[in-house]
Amino acid sequence: MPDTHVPRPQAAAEAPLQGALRQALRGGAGRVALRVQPSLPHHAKVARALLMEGALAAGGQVVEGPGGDLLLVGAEAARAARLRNLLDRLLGGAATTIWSLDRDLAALRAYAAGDSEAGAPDLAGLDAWLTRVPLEGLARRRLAARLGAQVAEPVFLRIDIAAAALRRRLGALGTDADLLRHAMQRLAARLLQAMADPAQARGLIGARPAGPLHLPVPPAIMAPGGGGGGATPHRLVATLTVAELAEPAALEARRAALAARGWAVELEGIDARLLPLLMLESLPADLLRLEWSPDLAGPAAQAALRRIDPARLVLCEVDGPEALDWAQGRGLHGIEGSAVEAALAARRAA
Amino acid sequence: MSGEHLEPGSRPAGLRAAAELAALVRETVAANASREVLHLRIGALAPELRRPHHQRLLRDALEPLFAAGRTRVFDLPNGDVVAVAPPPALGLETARRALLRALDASSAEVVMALRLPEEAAQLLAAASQSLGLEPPVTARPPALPGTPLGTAELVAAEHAIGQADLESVTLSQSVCRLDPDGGAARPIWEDRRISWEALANAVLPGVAIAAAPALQRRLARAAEARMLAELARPRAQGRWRAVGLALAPATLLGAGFARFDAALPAGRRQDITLGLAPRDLLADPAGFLAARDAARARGYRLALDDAPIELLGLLPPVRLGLDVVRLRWSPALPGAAPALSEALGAGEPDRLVLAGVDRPAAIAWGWEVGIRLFQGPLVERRRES
Repeated sequence: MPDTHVPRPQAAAEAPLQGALRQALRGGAGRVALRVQPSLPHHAKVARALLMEGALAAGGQVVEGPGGDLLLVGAEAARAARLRNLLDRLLGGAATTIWSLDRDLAALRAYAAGDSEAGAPDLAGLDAWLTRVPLEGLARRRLAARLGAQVAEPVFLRIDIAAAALRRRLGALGTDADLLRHAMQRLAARLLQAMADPAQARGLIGARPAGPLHLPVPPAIMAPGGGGGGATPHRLVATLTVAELAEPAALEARRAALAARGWAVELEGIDARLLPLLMLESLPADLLRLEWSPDLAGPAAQAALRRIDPARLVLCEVDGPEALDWAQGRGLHGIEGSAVEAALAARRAA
Repeated sequence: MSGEHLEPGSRPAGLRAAAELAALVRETVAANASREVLHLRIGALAPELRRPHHQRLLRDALEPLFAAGRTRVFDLPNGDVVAVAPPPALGLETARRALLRALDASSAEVVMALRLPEEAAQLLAAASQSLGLEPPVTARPPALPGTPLGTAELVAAEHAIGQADLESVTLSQSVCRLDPDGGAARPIWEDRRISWEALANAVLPGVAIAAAPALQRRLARAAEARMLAELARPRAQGRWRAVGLALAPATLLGAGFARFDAALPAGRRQDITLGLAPRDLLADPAGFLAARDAARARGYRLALDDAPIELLGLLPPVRLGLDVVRLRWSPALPGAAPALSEALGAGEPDRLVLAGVDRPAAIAWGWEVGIRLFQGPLVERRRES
């Protein structure tokens, strides 16, 4: 065994990251933590074996980090760098990070504390991350209400992926609009799957109100059968992105297939900019989800809105009094947003 | 002959062997040292030849190598054996002949003689394959047809696009004027766009890029930036003709386009028609409007790219502030609502292109509704040379 000055790992036992870090900091200078983000199960197996073997020569402990990461904590710097090269070569690409315990301790501590930015995936590992990141904290449950003289009774429940929370978790990748959209769709597919499992669905839905349930259905995914249909009002509403309108024939076919399974269709992603460009009254959907912004009061948006039955409109991003004022007296199907949530909570408390 | 030879003694085995072999290859390449390599691919043997007594026979043939001082032998985790020695490696050659004698002719490819540093990539691939890892990106196996584009493939593709010559994955077709009173098709501009099929074949065999639209948009940015860089070269500018470029709004707002724009000679922008896709417009209206206004302010012409006819009733081109509509031909078009046909032929034949023209019926229908600009495989054949 070379380099006897390197402390031997304790039978390569797995210790939690915090403990390993504390122990490593008691060692000498020139130590690092090597992190591997294996994107596939068999990569994880190989990475673990190589890290364990690396620990014999370079010292340190192998521990599991957040999100299925593997770490060798407290290894001697030069050997860890060689091990990293080998891992990058074998795992095909930059699947590794090295933190110096002397210089990068703050970043490493933030990562160990589960700070989202530090635990964010890299691009190659994004899809794998999206399959294992827990839906809790990313799935959002929201009640929409009818607006009478004031916020009245709940009209439907929406469960979707919270874009803002996801953007934070994605770190640098979250600033890329296309990647964020991709991530939203992958998670929406998982959400739909989870909703088909009664146990998981109960956890996500909570106390089920009387109205229908709105769920995002990403492109190329078919929603499970929802029963219903026929004369009964829809209990399930599939929320599709308005980008699917680019192929109207395909969208019509999807709408028909969804209807046959008991789903109504809602198009989302319509804002004040898009509104005047569309023939709103002709869009192949039961409901249109409109994003509130002050520009909705502009003449172009107003003209477009006059041509559609307001009972087909859902207004979202209703987060303050200005949006509530705008919605007042319009006869919208429903409104949603933090201002609506607050008003509903106040009603329940009263 | 027996057990103790099969059990690696001081020779590295398993994961460590693979790791050390990879390290040796890298060091050899770095030092530009010459090495002879013998690779016995047990994994490639037909299953009926992988029985213990066959393996023992093969190991016996390798026996002299294990004792040779200048030869390093690696027992890889999948059973493969790799021996490396500096030239002249007579021992390796002797072992190779012995192995071939132990095998029948149909299994001869199980024994491979390689050379370092020339064949380092192949040997590294063998080391990683022995660990159950797929070969490195350069030797990516074709995916099952229809595998949707994922982020791991995206990284590989962006890397490949950075180095590839995009000429071979760029689709160029002439937009030609065709009049009912006859005459050859007269080219008006050249439509250039990334061919996703060709790009997939080149860098992502078997992957369905369009199955992940958001990732496709990101990949488009990388590919389109390269396409623009090639167009801006003096050589391309020297034999200039009017072009139509299909671009994502994000490309138009990016640094690559700014460089392209800055390199253009005066007066050339009006010869360039930038095509924006309905899907991109709908996914990001703010991005579309920003790209449109920036391009308009600089003097480019703008087109709605690849629009199916049903879309025109939902997203009326007249509201979009564009100069040209590139209408997608489909055999269903002649049966489409007459009102749509009327809307199309509003007496502005220079603002409509019928794309994807692959049969005379398309041209006949186009003429009927007042279209004079056509593009597609049939038009390519009729073009004046």
